[in-house]
Amino acid sequence: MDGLLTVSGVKKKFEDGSMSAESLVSSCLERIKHEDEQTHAFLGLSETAIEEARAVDARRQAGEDLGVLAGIPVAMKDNMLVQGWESTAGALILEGHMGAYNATVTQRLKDAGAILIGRANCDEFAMGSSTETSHWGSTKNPWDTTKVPGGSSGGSAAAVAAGFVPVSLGSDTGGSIRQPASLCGVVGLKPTYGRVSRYGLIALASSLDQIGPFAHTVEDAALILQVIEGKDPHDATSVDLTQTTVPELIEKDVSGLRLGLPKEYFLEDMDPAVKKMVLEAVDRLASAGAKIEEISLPHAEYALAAYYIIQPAEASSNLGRFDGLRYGYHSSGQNLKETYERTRGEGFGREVKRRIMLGSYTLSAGYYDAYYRKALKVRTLIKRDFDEAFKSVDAIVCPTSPSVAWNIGEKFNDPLAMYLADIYTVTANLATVPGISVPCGFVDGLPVGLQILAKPFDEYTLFRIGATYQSLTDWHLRSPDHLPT
Amino acid sequence: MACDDNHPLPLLPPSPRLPPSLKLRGTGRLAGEKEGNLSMKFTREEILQIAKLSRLHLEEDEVEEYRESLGSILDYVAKLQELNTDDVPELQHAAEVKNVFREDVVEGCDGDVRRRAIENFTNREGDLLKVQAVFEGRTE
Repeated sequence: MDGLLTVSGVKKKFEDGSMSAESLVSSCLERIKHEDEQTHAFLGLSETAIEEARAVDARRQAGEDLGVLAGIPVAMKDNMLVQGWESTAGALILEGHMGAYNATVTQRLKDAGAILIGRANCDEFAMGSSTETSHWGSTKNPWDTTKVPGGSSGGSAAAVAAGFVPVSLGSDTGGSIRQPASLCGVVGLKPTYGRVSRYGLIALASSLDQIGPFAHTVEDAALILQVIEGKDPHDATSVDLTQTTVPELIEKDVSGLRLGLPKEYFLEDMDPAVKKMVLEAVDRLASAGAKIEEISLPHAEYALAAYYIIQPAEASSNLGRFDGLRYGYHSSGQNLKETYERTRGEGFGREVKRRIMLGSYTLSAGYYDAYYRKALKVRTLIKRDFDEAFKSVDAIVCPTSPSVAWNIGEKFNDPLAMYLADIYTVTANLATVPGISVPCGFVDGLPVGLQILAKPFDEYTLFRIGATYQSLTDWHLRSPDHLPT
Repeated sequence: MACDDNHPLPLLPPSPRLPPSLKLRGTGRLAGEKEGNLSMKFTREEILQIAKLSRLHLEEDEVEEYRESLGSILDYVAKLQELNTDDVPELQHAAEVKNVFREDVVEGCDGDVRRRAIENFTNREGDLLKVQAVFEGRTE
C-alpha cells in the first residue's frame, strides 16, 4: 500500500523515525496548496499546523507520552467549531464567524495530539447530497472532477480520497458521511446517535445529527471514533458507553455472523451495475463464512418521506438563531423584523430557505398533525423494523447510494431528485443505528460503496465486517492516481 | 425568532395538501414527476405567508421557484398518509436517556471564549450586543 496515506502507516513511520510530524504536515499542506484547486475540498488551512507538528516532534524526541493521534493531520468539516478558526458551515450568513470555543470532537482530537489542518467544504448547513449548495463553490470528486463528491461532507470525503489527509471528520444527518464516502471511494462511519457529542457542531437536525470519521481503512475509522466518542456533559444526549472501540481488537473474521439483505434496498430503479458490485461484495462476505439471509424492512419506502419532514422541521427551528446580530452576515432594515428578513433572505442560499420554509409549513398550526406528528409515528415504525430485523441478523448489508457520482449540475435544480440520493442512508439516522460505507468496487471508474448497518452501539460489528472485507479486497487501496482504466 | 407577529396562523388551506392520487408505492420515486400530472402548486400568497413565518425576504424569482418545488416535495412526503398510524406512538427522543441532571452551580465562562463570542457581534456597545428596538412603533 505504497501511496496510501493512513494513520496506521504514518504512525509506524513516526515510530521508526523515518518521518517527522513536521515533514508530514508540511507535505500535506503543500499538496493541498498545489492540487486542491482541482477538487476544492478545503475552505481554509490552519496557520499553526506546522508549529504544532514541530511541538509534537519535540515531545517525541524528549520521550514524552504522546496521544494516539500525535502528529496526525485531520481535516474538519466546516460546521464544527475550532477556536480561532472561521467557521461558516458553507454558508454566506456565517461569513466571518469565528469559532469562540472548541467543539468537543475538536478538543478530543487535540488532546490526542492530532494536528487540525484545515476546514473542509460542505453543503450549506449540511443541506445537500453533492456539496454544490456550499456558498463557497462546489467540491469536485477526486476520481473525476466533472462529478460531484456527494455530500454534505463532500470536502471531508474528497480530502481523504485525494490523499491530502489520512482522516477527516464529517457529520451525518441523513447520509452526509456515508454517501460521500461511497462516491469518493473511502470509508465513512456514522456512529449510533448519542455515541459522539454534538457540542460545537452547527446543528442541522438535532435528533439525527452525528459526527463521524472518514478514512481509507476501517481500522483508522475505528481509531478516530475511539478518540472522539463518549459522554460529554455539554451534550445531554451523549451516552455513557459501556463498550468503547478498540481498533486493535477488531477481528478479521465473519464466520457465523448473520447478515441481512433487505429486499426493499434493491429497487429496480437503482443502477444495475451498482447493484451487481454490492451483491458481489455480499458474496465475498458469504464465502468468508457469513450467513446471508433475505430480510424485510417493510417501512423502508416511507423513510425518505418521513426524513424530509422531520429534518427540515428541526432545521427550521435550529436555524432560527441566525438573526444577523450575534454572528456573521448582517443586512439592515427599517426595523428589527425587516433586519431579520433581509439578513436571512440574503444570507441563506436557496436550498436552505427551501428547507426552512418546508419546516415552518409542516410545523405550523393545522399542518403539524398531518405532517410532523405523522412523520414521528412513521419514525417509530422504521425503528421497529430495525429492532425486528436485528432479532434474526447481526448486521444489515446494502448499497450506500443508488448510483455512483453524477455530473456536477445534473441534479442541482431538481431538489427531489437530489433528496432521492439519500434513499438508502436516511433510515439509519431515523432508526438511530450506526452505519458504515466501505469501498466495494468501481463502475465506469467511479467508486461504489457497501453500506453495513448494525444494532445501536454495536459499531464493533460494523468494524469487524468492514475490516474483514478490506482484508479480502483491495478496492480501498486504489487512489485516483492509480485508476484501473 | 425573537419577536412574534400579529398573524400567528398561516393563511393557508385548512387541510394538508394531498396529491390527487398516490401512485408512489414501491418505487421510491415521485410517480408524477415525469408525467407532470401530480405536482401541486402553492399560490404566491401562500409562499409569501410561509416566508413571513420563516422571517425570510424572498425575491420574485424565488417565490416562483418555491411555488413549484415546495409543492412537489409535499406531494412526495404525502406518501406517509398511506400508512395507518393510529396506534403508533411518536418517536420523540432519539437518545434513550432520561433525566440528565447536573449540579445546580453556575459555571463561569472562560474569558477567552467570552471575548471571542462578543467579537462575533455585528454591532455592539462595549461588551453589549446592540440591536434595533424590539417593540414596533418605538424608537431607540
